Amino acid sequence: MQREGSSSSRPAPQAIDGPTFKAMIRAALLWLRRHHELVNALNVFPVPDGDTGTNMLLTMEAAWQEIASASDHEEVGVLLQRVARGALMGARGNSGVILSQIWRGMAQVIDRRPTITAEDLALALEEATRTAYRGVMKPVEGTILTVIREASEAAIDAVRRGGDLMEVMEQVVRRAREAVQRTPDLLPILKAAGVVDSGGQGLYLILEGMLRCLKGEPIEEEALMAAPSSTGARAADALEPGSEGYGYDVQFILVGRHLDVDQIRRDLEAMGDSVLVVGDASTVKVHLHVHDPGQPLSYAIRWGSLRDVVVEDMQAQYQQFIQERARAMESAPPPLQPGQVATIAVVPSEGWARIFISLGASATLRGGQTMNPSAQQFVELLKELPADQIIVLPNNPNVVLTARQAAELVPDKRVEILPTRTLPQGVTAMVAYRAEADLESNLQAMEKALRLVRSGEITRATRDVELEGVTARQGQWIGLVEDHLVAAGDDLEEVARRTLEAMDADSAELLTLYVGAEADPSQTARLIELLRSRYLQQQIEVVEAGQPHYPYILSAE
Amino acid sequence: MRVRIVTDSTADLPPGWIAEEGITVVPVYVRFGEEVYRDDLEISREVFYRRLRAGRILPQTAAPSPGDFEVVYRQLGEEAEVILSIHVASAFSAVCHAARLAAQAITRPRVYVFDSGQVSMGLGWQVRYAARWAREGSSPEEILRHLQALRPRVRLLATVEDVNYLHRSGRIDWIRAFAAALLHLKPLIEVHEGRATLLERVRTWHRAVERLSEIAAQRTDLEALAILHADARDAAQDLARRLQERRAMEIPILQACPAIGAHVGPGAVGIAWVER
Repeated sequence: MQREGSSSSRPAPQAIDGPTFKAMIRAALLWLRRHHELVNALNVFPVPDGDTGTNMLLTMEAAWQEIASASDHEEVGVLLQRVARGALMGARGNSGVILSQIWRGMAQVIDRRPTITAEDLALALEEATRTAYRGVMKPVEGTILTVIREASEAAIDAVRRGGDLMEVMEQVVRRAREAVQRTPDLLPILKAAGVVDSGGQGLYLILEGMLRCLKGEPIEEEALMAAPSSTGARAADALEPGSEGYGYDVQFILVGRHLDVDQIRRDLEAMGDSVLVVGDASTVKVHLHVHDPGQPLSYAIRWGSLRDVVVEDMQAQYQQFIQERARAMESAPPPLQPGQVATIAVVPSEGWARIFISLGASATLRGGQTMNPSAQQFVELLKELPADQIIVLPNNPNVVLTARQAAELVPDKRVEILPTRTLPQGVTAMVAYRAEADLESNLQAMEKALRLVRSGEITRATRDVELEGVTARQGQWIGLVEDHLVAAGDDLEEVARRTLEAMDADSAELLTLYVGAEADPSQTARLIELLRSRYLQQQIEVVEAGQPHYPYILSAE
Repeated sequence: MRVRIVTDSTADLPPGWIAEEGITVVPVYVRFGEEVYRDDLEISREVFYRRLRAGRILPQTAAPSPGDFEVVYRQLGEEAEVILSIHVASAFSAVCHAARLAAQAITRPRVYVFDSGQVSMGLGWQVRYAARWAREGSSPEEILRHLQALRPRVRLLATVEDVNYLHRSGRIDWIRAFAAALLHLKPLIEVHEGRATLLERVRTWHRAVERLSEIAAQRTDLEALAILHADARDAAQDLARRLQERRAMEIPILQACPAIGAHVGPGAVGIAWVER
C-alpha cells in the first residue's frame, strides 16, 4: 500500500488504490493552489479580475474535504464518488462546473472498483470527456474541454501501446500541456489577448499534481494551509463596521517551534481584519488587512522566522487597475461599417486626437489656434474616408469656414459641419454620436448635446489688451469663457477661480480640466487642488490633453 | 399537477412577492477575496454596499453549483411534480448551466430550466408572471409557452456611475472599448433577450438618469415597471416620482442584490419593464 509522502525510491504502482488516490487528490489540490494565481492571470480582459484559478481551487477544495478524513481502507471507487459529490456541491464558475462533470464521469466508470488500472484510467477519462461535453450547451474548442479530450485520447493511445499506469499518466499530462499551448490557435480571443485558456491550464495543473504524487515528487506542505474559507464562515467580518479603513494586505509564513496558533490568531485579530491564521506548532500561514503592516510583522518575528512576506497596498491596487485599463485601450479608430456616418474632429494635439478617437471619431485632423488646417487637407481626408456621409467637428471658430469650403469641393458626399466652437463642445457632441444612428438623428443629438457644456480657457496674454471691461497686460494670466475675456491677473488660481465662476461651474455636475503641453506641473497640482476643494459637489476629471498655447482648458457640464 | 417556481437571487424580487407567490430563490455566491457569502442570506445589502464603496477588495460572484440546485430540486420534489427554474441570462452567467446539469441529474421531479435572457427585475418580472400563471392553474407547458412570448416584451435599461465595475466584470464585451480616454462617460445600456447593447452615451450621471426617465416616459405601452438601484436610493425615488406622475400603476423601487451590485458598482440605476 502506498503512503503519501513516501520516498521516490518505491516501485511504480501498477494500479491506484484508495490511499494513493487520496494522496493524488491532495497533491492536485496543493499543486493547483500553488499556481492558481497564475491561472487567474490568464485573463482575456486587460484587468486583474480573473478568477478561474480561484474558482477551480474552491471546487477542488470542496472535493478534497469529502475525502480528507477517509481511512486507508476505503476503496478508490467510493473515494472517487465522494470527490465527484464534493466537486458538484462546491463547483464555482464555468470551469469549476466542468471540472465537477469530469469527476462525475470518472466516478461513473470506476464505480465500486477497489483500484484503478491503466486501462480503467483511460476508460474513466474517456467517459469524463463525454460527461464534460454533454454538460455544456454549446461546446467550444480551445477550452478545458479540448484539454480533457486530448488527455483522454493520449491515455487510450498509451494503453493500446501497452503502457503501464505511470506511462499512461505521463502521456495524459504531456498531451494536456500541449493542448493548453494550442488553445490560442483554436480560440481567437485567446490569441488576441496573448494567453492560453485559463480553465485548460487549471485542469493541466490538477493532472500534473496527480502525476507528481504518483512519481513521489514532493509538493510543498505550506500551500495546503492557505485554504480559502468556506461558505459564509467569515460572515462576521463583513458586519464589522470598522473594516473599511485598512489599507494593506499582509501575508507571510511564520516558522518556529511551539507556535501557539490560537494565541497568534487572537493577537493578530486585534490588529486588523480579515484575519486568517492557519497551521500547526511549527509553521503558521497568516493573512490579514491592517493600517500598519509593520505591526503584525514585528509581532510575528518574536515567535520565529518569517518567510514569503507579501505586503500590498490595496488602494494602490485599485488605482493601478484603473490606470492599466486606460493604457490598454487602443487609440486606432474602429473600422467604418457600410452606411455608417463618419466623423472628423479637428484637434490641436495627439492627446486630443486620442480622446476623440476613443469616443468613436473616424479620423482627426491637426489644427486649431494659429495652425488651421487647409481646405486641401480637409478635401483629401473627406475623399479618403470610406463613407458617404460625414460630420465635421471644427472645435474652433476659425476652422468652420475652411471646413465649409472643403465640403463644397466634395459634392458626391454629404458633409455636415457641426458648429462646435470649442474642444469641450466637440467632446460633448462626440459623446452623443452613435455609430448605428443615421445622419439626421446624429446631427440632432450632437447639436443638442453641445449646448449642455460651457467651455473656459486659461492662457497668458500675448499683448496688453482691454476687452469687455477686463484689462490684461502682456504676460499676465487671462481667462476666457466661450471666447470672451472674463478675467486677468498675475495669480493663476485667482484667474482660474473667476473663470470657473463665469462658467457657472457651481451648477455643473462635472468639471474637466484638460492640461496643455505648456502647463507647469506644480501649478497644475495647485489648480487641481483648487477644483477639488472649491467644488465639492462636482465630479472632477483631469485629462493630459497636451494642447499648445492654452495651458488649461476647462469644461463644465 | 403541482408546479413550483425556482429562480436565483439576481432576480431582485421583493421579499413580499417571494413569500406571497411561494417562489424558491437560490442564492448565487459573492466573494470578497477569500471570504465567500451566499447572496442576501449571509451578507446584507447595507453591509455589502458599504464594503463595495470602501473599495478595498473588489467582490466577485459565482453561480450556485449544480449540487446546490440538486438539493433544492430534490427538496421541492417532495411536494411538487414539476419545477420551472427561471434564471439570469446565460449570456452573462453560468447559473442556467448549473441548473441544467442538476435538472439532467435527477429524474423526479421534472425540471424545466428557462433562460430569461434578462437580469435583475427583467428576470424578476418573468418569475412573478410565471408564479401567477402557476397559481391560476396553468400547466407547465402552458407556462413555458407564455414565458417564450413574454421574454421579448421585457426590457431593462440602466446606467452606471463608474464604468470600471462593468469593465472589470467582463460580462459585456464592448465595455472594454468604452470610455478609453475619459473617465466620466456614462453608458445607457439596454438588456433585451440576452443581449446588452449601448443605447446612448452621456457625459454625466444625472443626465444619464434623466435620459432613462425621458425614454421610459415616452413609452405608453407598459404594463409593469420597476426601478432598480445599486445604493442610489435618492435617484431611484426621484425617477419613480417622475414616472409615477404619468401612470396609475404601482412602481416598486428595489435595491439590487450584492451579486448584481458587484458587477454594476454603486450608483447604478435602472428600469425594468414589461411591454403590452
